[in-house]
Amino acid sequence: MRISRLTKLLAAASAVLLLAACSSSNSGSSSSGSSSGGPVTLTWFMWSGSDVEKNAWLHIADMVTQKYPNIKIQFETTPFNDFWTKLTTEAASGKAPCVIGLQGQRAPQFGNLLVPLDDYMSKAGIKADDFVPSITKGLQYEGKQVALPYDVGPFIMFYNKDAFKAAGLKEPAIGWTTDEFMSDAKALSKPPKYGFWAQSDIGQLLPWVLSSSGKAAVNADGKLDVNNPEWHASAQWYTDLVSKEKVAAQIPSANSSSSSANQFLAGNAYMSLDGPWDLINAREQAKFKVGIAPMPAGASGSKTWSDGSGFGVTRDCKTPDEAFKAVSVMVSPEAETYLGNLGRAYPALISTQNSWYEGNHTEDVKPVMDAALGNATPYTTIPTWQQVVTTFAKQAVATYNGQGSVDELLSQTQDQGSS
Amino acid sequence: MTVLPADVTAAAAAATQAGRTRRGDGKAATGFMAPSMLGLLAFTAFPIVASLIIGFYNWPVIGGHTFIGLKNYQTLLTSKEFHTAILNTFVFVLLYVPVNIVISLGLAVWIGSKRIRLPGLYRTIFFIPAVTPVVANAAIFALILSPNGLIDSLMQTWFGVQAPNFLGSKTWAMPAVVLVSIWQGFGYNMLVFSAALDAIPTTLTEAAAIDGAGSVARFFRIVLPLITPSIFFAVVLTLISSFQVFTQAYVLTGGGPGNATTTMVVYLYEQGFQFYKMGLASAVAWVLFIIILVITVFQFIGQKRWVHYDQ
Repeated sequence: MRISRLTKLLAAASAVLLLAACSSSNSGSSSSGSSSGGPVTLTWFMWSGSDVEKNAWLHIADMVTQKYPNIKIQFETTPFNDFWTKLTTEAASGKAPCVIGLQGQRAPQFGNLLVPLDDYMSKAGIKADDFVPSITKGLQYEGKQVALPYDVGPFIMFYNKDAFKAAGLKEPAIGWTTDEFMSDAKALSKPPKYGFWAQSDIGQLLPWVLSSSGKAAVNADGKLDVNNPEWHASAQWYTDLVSKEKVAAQIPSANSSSSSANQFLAGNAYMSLDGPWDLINAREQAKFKVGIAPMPAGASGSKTWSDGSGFGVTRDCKTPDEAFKAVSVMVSPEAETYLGNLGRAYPALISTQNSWYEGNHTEDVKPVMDAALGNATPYTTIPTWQQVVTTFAKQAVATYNGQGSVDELLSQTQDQGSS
Repeated sequence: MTVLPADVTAAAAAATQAGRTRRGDGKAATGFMAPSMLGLLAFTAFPIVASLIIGFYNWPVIGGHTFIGLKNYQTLLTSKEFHTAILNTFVFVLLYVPVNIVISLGLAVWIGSKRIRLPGLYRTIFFIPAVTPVVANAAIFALILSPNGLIDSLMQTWFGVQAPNFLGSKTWAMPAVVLVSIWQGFGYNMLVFSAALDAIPTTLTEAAAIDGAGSVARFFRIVLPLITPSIFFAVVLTLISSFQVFTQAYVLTGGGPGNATTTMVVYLYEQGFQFYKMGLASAVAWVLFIIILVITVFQFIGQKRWVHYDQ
C-alpha cells in the first residue's frame, strides 16, 4: 500500500516536471510567427550597464520596426558580465535569442552559435570594407563573418592633462616612446599618487608586448603562446613598474575589473590604458582634463589591440532572414550615427565615425584615434579564453605585487590555455 | 493531487473509526506535503542525482557530452590547484569556526548579563550583519580594505605609513576573507546562544553562587555544560557552511592573489561557470559533500564525550 502510494506520488511529480519542461520550451522559443512578410517577433539579447544605455538600444529596436513594420523586437538585457553566462545557458538548452550582441574577443568561444552572414551580406549589398577592418576580422569565426560590428576601439593611453602641466612635462603625443613614458611616470609618481595604474588583466599587458616585440597572445596556428622570451621580457618590465620602479600602485585584488578607470578618474593615477568607449564618460566625470595618446612606441613601434562588438544571428533562430534584416538596421548609417552622437559607441562603420567626434566635442582626439586604429591588431583569442583571463588575473596580482615570479605567471597561464 | 475539503472531512470521519486512523491521515498528509515534496524533488533531489551523473561525463555547457568514468575525479586528485583549494578551505574553516563561536558566545553572554539594559536592542544591532546580503557586506569591506580605502587613509593620516595591501597580498588575503565572514556570520550563532542562555534556570546559577562559586567557575562549570547542545548545533552548522564559503572570497579577491583564497567552492564556480566544465565542477561538489559528510559524522560520534543533554 505504502509503496504504491509513493509510486503514485513520484509519477505525479515527474508528470508535473515533464509538463513544466514542455511548456517552458514552447514559451521560450526564440521567435514566433511565419517567415517573410508576416508579422515576426524577434528576441534581441544585448548587454547594458545603465538605463541610458538600455534606452539607446530600445531606440535602435524602434528603428528596426520603423524600417520593417512586420518585425517587432523583444529586447532583453543584462549587465555585461552576466550576459555571457545567460547566453551560454540559453544556448545550452537550444533557446538562444534570435539576435545577440557579440564581443570580438568572445568570437572564438561563441562563434559556433551563430549563422555565417556572408551570403546575407552580399544579397543585401552590405560591404565588409565599409567597416573598420580589425573589428570585421575580429568578428569572424572560422573565416566566416558571424556578426556585423557596431563599434570598435583601440586600447590607448588616457592621461591627466592637468598633472602633466603641473609637473612641467610635455604631454604624451603621437610618436612618444616607452622611455618617455617611463620618465614621465617617474616624474609624476608621488605615493600614494602614481604615474601609471597597473592592472592584473591580460589585456592590459598585451599592448606592451605588441609594442616591444610584435608578439600577440595567440600565434598563427590559433594556439595560445605566452610562455616565451618576448612575453617574459614585457611581463617582467610591467612587474617592475609596480615592484621596482614604483611608478604604479600595488594591485588591489584580482576582482576589480573597473578599478583602472576609477583610480584614474579619482586622480590616484595619472596615466592608464583604456578604450575610447570610456573616454566620454571620463571627460564628464573627471575633475581634470583628460587627454589620450597612442601606446608609447617600443622596439616594435606603437602597437595596440582593438576590440569592438557587433550583432549576429543565432542558429536557434527560426526566422534568420528577418533577424538579418534587423541586424542590418542595427549597423546601418542611421543607427551608427545615433550611437556615435550619444557617445555610446565609436562607430565601426567608417563613414559615420565623425558623429562620435562632432556629437561629443572630441574632435581634438581624432589624430590619436586614427593613429592608434591604424596600428591596431584584432584582439585575437582562443575558445577557452576565459580560463586564460581568470588564471592570469589571479596570478598577476601576486606576481606584480612581488609575491610570485613572471615564470609562474606565464607558465600557469599557458598551461590553462592548453588544457 | 488536489485535496478536496470533502476528502479531509472523510479522513477525519474515518479517523474516528478504530484501525483506519493511519490510512486516513496518510492521505491528507500526502496532500499537504505534496507541494514541498515536489519542490524538494525538483530543486534538491533531481540536481543531486543529476550532478552525480554529470560528474562521470565530460560535460561542456554547449556541445555534446561524453562518458569518461572516473576521469574527472582523477583530474582532481592530480590537480595541484585543487589540492590548494582543499588546503585553503581547511585553513579557512580552522580560522573561522573557532573565532566565530568564541565571538558569538562572548557577545551572547555579555548581552545576557544583568548589567545590559536593553538586550533586545543589542541583539538586533548585532544581528544586522547576518541579514545584510553577503555581497553588500563584502563590497563594503573591499572599499575599507583596499589601498586608499578607509584603513589605509586612517593609517596614513595618523601614522604616516601605508596599510598593507590586504586583498592583493598572499599573506593578508585569507585573513581578510575570514574577517568578513566573521562579520557576516557571528550574529546568527549569537542568537542561538542567547536563546540557550536564557533557557538556563536561574536557580542553578544562584545555588552555585550561594555555594561560593565565582562568576568564572559558574560560567565554565554550570553555564557552559548546560548550553553544550546549542554549541554542538552551532558548530555543526557553522562548519558545514564554512566549508561552502564562496561569496566573500569571490567578491573580495576573486580567489587570488595566485590561488591564495581559492576555496573549494570558488574552484567549483570557476570550473563550472567560468570555464564551463560542468562534469569537473560536479565532481568537485561530490568531493566537498563527502568531506562535509565524514566530518559531520565524526562530530556526531564525538558529541557523546562533551555534549550534555540532561539538565
